[in-house]
Amino acid sequence: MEPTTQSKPPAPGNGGTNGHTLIHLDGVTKVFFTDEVETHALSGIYLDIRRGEYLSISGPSGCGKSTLLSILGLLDSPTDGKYTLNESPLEALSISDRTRIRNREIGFIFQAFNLIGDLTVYENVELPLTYRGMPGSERRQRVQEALERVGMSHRVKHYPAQLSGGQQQRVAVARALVGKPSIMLADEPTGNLDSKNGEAVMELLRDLHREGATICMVTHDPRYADFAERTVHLFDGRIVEETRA
Amino acid sequence: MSTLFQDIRFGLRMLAKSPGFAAVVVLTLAIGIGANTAIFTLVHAVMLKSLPVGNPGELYRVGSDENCCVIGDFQDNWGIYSYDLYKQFRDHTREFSELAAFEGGRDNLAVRRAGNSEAPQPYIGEFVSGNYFQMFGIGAFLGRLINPDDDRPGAPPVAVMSYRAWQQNFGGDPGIVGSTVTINTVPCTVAGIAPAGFYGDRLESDPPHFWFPIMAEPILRGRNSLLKHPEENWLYVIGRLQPGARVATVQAKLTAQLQHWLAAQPNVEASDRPNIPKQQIALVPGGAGVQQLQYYAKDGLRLLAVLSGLVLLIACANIANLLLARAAARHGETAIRAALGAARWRMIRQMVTESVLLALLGGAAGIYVAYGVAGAIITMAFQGARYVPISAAPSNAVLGFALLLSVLTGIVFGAAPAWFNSRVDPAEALRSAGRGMVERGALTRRSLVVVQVALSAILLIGAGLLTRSLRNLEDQQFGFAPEGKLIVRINPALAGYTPEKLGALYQQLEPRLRLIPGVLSAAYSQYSPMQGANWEDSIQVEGHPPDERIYASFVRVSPHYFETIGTPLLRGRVIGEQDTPTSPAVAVVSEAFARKYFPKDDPIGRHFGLETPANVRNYEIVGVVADAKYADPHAPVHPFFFLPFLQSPKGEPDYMVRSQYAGAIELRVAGKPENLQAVVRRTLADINPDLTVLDMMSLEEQVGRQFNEERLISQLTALFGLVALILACVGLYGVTAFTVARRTNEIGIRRALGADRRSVLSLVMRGVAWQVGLGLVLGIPLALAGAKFLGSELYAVRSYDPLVVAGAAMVLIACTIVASLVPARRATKIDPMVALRYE
Ligand SMILES: Nc1ncnc2c1ncn2[C@@H]1O[C@H](COP(=O)(O)OP(=O)(O)OP(=O)(O)O)[C@@H](O)[C@H]1O
Ligand SMILES: [Mg+2]
Repeated sequence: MEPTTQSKPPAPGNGGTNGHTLIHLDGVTKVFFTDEVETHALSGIYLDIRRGEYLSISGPSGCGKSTLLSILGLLDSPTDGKYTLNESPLEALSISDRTRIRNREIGFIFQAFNLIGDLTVYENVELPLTYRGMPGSERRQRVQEALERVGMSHRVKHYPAQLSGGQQQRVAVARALVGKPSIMLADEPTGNLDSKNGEAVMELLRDLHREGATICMVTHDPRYADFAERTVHLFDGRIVEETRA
Repeated sequence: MSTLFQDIRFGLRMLAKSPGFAAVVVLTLAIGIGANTAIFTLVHAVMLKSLPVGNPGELYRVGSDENCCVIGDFQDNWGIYSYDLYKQFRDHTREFSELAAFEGGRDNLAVRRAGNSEAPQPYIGEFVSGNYFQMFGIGAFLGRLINPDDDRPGAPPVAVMSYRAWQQNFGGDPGIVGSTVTINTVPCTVAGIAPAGFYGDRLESDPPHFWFPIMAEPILRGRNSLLKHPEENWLYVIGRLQPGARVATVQAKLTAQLQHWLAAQPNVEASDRPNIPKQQIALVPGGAGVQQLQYYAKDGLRLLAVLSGLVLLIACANIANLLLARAAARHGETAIRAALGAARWRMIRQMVTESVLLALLGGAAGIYVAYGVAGAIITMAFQGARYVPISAAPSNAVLGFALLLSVLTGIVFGAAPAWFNSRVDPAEALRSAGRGMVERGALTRRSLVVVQVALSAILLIGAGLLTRSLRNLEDQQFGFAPEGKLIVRINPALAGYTPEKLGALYQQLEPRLRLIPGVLSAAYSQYSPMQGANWEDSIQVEGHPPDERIYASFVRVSPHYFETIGTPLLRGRVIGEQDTPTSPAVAVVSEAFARKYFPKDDPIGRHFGLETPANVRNYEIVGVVADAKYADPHAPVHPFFFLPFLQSPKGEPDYMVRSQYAGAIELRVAGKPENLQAVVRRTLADINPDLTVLDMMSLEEQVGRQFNEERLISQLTALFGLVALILACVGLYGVTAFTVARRTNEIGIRRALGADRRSVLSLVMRGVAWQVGLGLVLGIPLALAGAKFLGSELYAVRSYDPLVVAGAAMVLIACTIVASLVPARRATKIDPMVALRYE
């Protein structure tokens, strides 16, 4: 492992996209305005994520990890800077276009699982496909595959409250991958799990990566950061360091 | 006890902490409790209260029927009697310590203070037996009341004045007692003033101003007197029963006397005699006097009580919902209390205390609402009355009712949320936020909205049906044209006219009135349409067997009557100038009369007469006019005939002399009828200064007063429906907003997973649609089932009128959509970021 320090932005032209680059962030900043206070959550992020890469983001609390992830996931838009996904710029998109892209290209895994309590395991996993307007038979097949992939196909009729935390997170992973997104974003996916269950989820992600998935994961835990090929370290809204496994 | 105080203190603190919430709840309750208290105020004042007399519990009325005012036929179930019959009861029923009689109808009076030259003023009087006041156990406010000595033949006529008339019309002048007033041109001594609260023997609008002894009746009424007509029943009878007397025994005794008396009457028709054993009398509690008003108000009040009850239920559902939401928001707090060892019943009590406090505040505000609403109802119900002895002011009974209702309401709407909230698991205090748990009480909240929607649907459908019914009543073909007509009520008898002198009056009336600028045509009649009068008798019709029982209503009318009132002539001719006292007696009949009694042949030229076969050729039919409604606007028209004034063929019953008096003048005018009032008054005073105008109003107004009750009930139901709709919308808004707030995270997740705004909107609105749909599915059949009971109140509307049902459903759907769109739109604005941020 050889730490490299990235202290200045890459030269222009060098940051252009090529066929392997899935995501390209160019000087992305995010400022929150609240009650006359400006919070600079992100202050100039330059980041490329290649297809099939497994990237982890780490850093102290409040450094902007979740903010970065939410911009990557199109949940939020940057104050400034460029975001290119699949070679198309995203700045000028309408809300409904962003919703559509989010649904098709992004899969989310949250720290708090965020399964919907009123829906069964099956329905939770099916949800992103429903929003896509996919025909029922195709949906059924995909959901089945996704649940088998995470080893939860025996619990389709259960409600989230009837599952353990580890099981819930596996279902959440299934929900993230069922839509065959370009990238899966995970924010502290093990934060609410004990170490055994956490490990299991991390192994699941690693396996998915080996099968070709692109994953970007936020984590505090250095043990889990090592699962990734590359780790970017965030401090005060900037990338201060990058390490490779 | 001290813990109760603690609960109350804490409850007040919690309410003070959320004044907005408290205000909404108190307002909602004020409406719900207020509406019910208003109806109770009326139920209490009208249905439950006794007359303000001594020991009303001892009073019994002889007869239970409310029929009025002069009845000549057998009544089967008797309620009204001739003077002869009354004397019979009075002198032969020792079980009564006093048995008094009083007039069923009301007499218009023309009253002038002695020495005053102004036109006499219209007042209302009643003839009562000499022991009337004694029987009621009341004494004079001033002077003395009528006593049995005043009620002897030949006694000088005296009058007792009501306290109210004395105060309002005679300035409370004590000098009036012992002075002379001219009543219907007859001098009478004012013996005294009745006590302040006394309004007579029944609850009615415009109660009598003067009471006279029955023996004064022939003096004041002259030839129209009924005193010496044992065949005319015109007196109600109420008595005070001796202690220990058994009602059943007295009742049997009275019935036996009645049958015995009837059998001894020489002028009872042979055809009636077999029915004598069927004639009977019921002895009923008489503490509330004659219950005509109660009889007519009963159904309406019952309906309003049910409807206001529904409004209160909706209000309760609404508040229970608000409390449930609050309870859910305070869930964490409650879990901590439970963890600290609070007993469950203690928590329930705390919350119920809070609700009862709220309900009491709402009840206090509701008393104000009730006072206003009850006052408005009384005004509307008795539109046109100058005085109604019913007070909207809350009595002790009303205050008690409001208090009881408030406490009950507080328990009802407080219990469910308290129950739910107390079902916390103390362990939850230790867990992190209840993620993934099924929402507590959500089903209850939604069910409450469903109930609200259902109840609102019932009220709206009811309001729609009643409104349509009123519209149909008002817009119906009356058979005359109410617009542009002025009706002037008079009674020449009060000005001292004997039947012989009427001709001279009538000769002047029409030509003088027609000359008034703005009057297009003028006429007069025995009574006018929709004035509340109806003369009816059995008739003998040519070509029909004499024993066929045929009844018809009739009215005497002047020339130009039909063109003035706007009733079209269908065949033959109308009554005209050529019909004089000496010309052959003629009649014009209505279409219904012609259709019924001459179904095949032409009625013109045929004959009929009143009562006995000997009269069958009395009147010759000269014309047929269109049907018109004279009495009950709800009932279909019935056979009617019209006679000219002053014709009186041989054999006409005695009472027909009274029909010669014109009771109403009809004027067809250009412009607003009310504008002519002053000049009409002047013209009549010119003809004879003693001719008192008893009342004057447009025919439209006169017709409109027939619908006072319908208008009141339909407007109140509409008001209740509107309140229900608003409450239901507020409830739905609350539940939807609350659901959206609770599901913020879920909706955020859905948004993060790619749900677009439309699908979020439809997610929320689907829930709304379910609640509204279910509410309608429950409410519409209930409303339709309930509408069957409305049946008698509805005119020309089917109780399942599809237009009304569809209209009510549409209004509900539209309003609930609007109410829920606000929170639903808020849901679409939920930031998907919440999915990430949520901890
Ligand atoms: N909606 C917002 N409004 C205002 N400030 C915000 C908002 N969201 C985040 N911030 C601020 O931006 C900064 C970065 O927040 P962010 O949630 O990205 O941190 P984080 O690295 O994910 O921290 P943690 O490890 O504790 O989750 C913080 O100072 C935070 O207070
Ligand atoms: Mg974070």
